[in-house]
Amino acid sequence: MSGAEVFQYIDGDTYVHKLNPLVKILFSVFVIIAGIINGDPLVLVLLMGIPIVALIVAGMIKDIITQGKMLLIVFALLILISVLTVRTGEMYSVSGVGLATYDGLLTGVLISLRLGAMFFAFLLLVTTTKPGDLVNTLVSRLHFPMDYALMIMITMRFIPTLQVEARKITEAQAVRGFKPAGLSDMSRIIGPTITPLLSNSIGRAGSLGHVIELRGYRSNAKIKFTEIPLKMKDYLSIAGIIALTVGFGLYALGYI
Amino acid sequence: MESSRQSSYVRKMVYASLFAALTAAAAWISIPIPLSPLPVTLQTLFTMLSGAVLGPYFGVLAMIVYVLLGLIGLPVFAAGQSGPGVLFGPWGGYLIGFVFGAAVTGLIAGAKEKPGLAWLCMAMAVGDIVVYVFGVAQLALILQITLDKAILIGFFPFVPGDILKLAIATVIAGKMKV
Repeated sequence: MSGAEVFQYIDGDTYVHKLNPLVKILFSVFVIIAGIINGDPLVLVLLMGIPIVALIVAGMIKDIITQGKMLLIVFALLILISVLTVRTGEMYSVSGVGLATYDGLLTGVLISLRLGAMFFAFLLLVTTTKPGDLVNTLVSRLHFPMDYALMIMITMRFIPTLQVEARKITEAQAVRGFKPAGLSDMSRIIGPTITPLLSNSIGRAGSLGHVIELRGYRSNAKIKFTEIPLKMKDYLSIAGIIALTVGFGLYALGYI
Repeated sequence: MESSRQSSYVRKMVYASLFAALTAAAAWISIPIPLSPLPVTLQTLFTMLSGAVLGPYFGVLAMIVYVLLGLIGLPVFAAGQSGPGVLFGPWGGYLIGFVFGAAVTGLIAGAKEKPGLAWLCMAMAVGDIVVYVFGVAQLALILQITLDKAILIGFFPFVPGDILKLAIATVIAGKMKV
C-alpha cells in the first residue's frame, strides 16, 4: 500500500480542485447527514456514486482503485460482523446450517454503503483541497476554533507519516532477523518497534511545535484569514447541493 | 523526549495531535478474537498513554480530535469504520470512553508531582476501566441485553490484551516526558 499519500492533498488544476473548499465541505456534510437518515440501498449507492464521479473528474481514478480495494476488505468484514450478530429475519441455510439472515445481510450492506459514501465524500474533500485553504475556510467561514482546526490538520498529516515510519522500522528490524509472529510475540514487539516509533514521532512532533511557535502562532497576535471568494461555479455547485438536499428530503418524506 | 522542562502550549497541542494520529493508526492493527465481533486493537494503549503523558487537558483533546476525525468520515475507528453511526451504535461507547478514560488517567497521574511507575500503572488501569464502563453500558443499552451478558462479550474477551497493553504503557509512560 502506498501509505505515504493516503488522505493527502494531490495537486491538480481541475474543476473540482478549483471549487471553493466551502462547497466541498457542504457536500460532505450533505452526504454524511443523508447517509445517516437514509436506509435505502439504492439511494446510498447514488450517494456513493456522486463523490466517485467528482473524483474521476478530478483525475483520481488510480486513487479510487487503490482505496476501493482497501474499502472492499472493510466491507467484507462489516458484512461478516453483521451477519454474525444480527440473527433476526428469514434464515438462509446451506445443508441445514443457518448461515445468514436477510436482516443480517441487509444491515451489513447498508453499513458498508453508508461508510463508502462518507469515505469517498471525505476523500474528495481532502485530496482536492489544499490543507491551508481547508483550515482557512473552517476558521473564517465556519467559525471553527483555530486550535482544533490546526490539530485536525496535523493529525491527518501524521497518520500517513506514522504508517510509513512503522513500515520502515518493521523492515529495518526484519533485516536484523526480528520477525514477530502471533499473539505470543506481541510483548516482544514493543522494544524493537513501538519504542523507536514513539520516540521518532515525538521528536518530529517537537520540531513541528517549534516551527509553529516560530511562525508566531498564539503569540497574542490574532491570526486573520482572508476568506476565499465564492465564484460563479461555486454558487452553481451550492445550488446543485441545495437541489440534491431538497430532492432527497422529498424522497425521504415519500413525495417522490 | 528526556527534557524535564514543561513544553509550551503549542508544542503540547502538536503532541496531542500526534497521540490522536497514533490512536487512529492503532485502530488498523487489529487481532480478531473469539466471543466478540470487535477485534483487539492497540487503541487503549494510546488512550492510557495520552492521559498519562499529556495530562488531563491535552489527553482529552487528543481523544476528542481522534473521535472528530472518525465522525467526519476518516476510517479511523476499529475495523476501518467511521461516521456518527459508529459512535451511536452498540460499540460506540468505547469511543466515548476513550475521552473520559484519558481524562481520568490524566487526573490521577497528575495528582502526584512525581508519579512512580506503580502510580502511573494504577492511573492507567483506572482509566482503562472507565473506557470499558462506557463501552459495556452502551452495548447493553443499544443491544437491549442484560449487563452481565454485555460484560461477557464487551469486557472479558479484552482483559488479557489489556493487561499486556497496560504493562507496555507503564514501561513507555515511565520513560516518556513531553
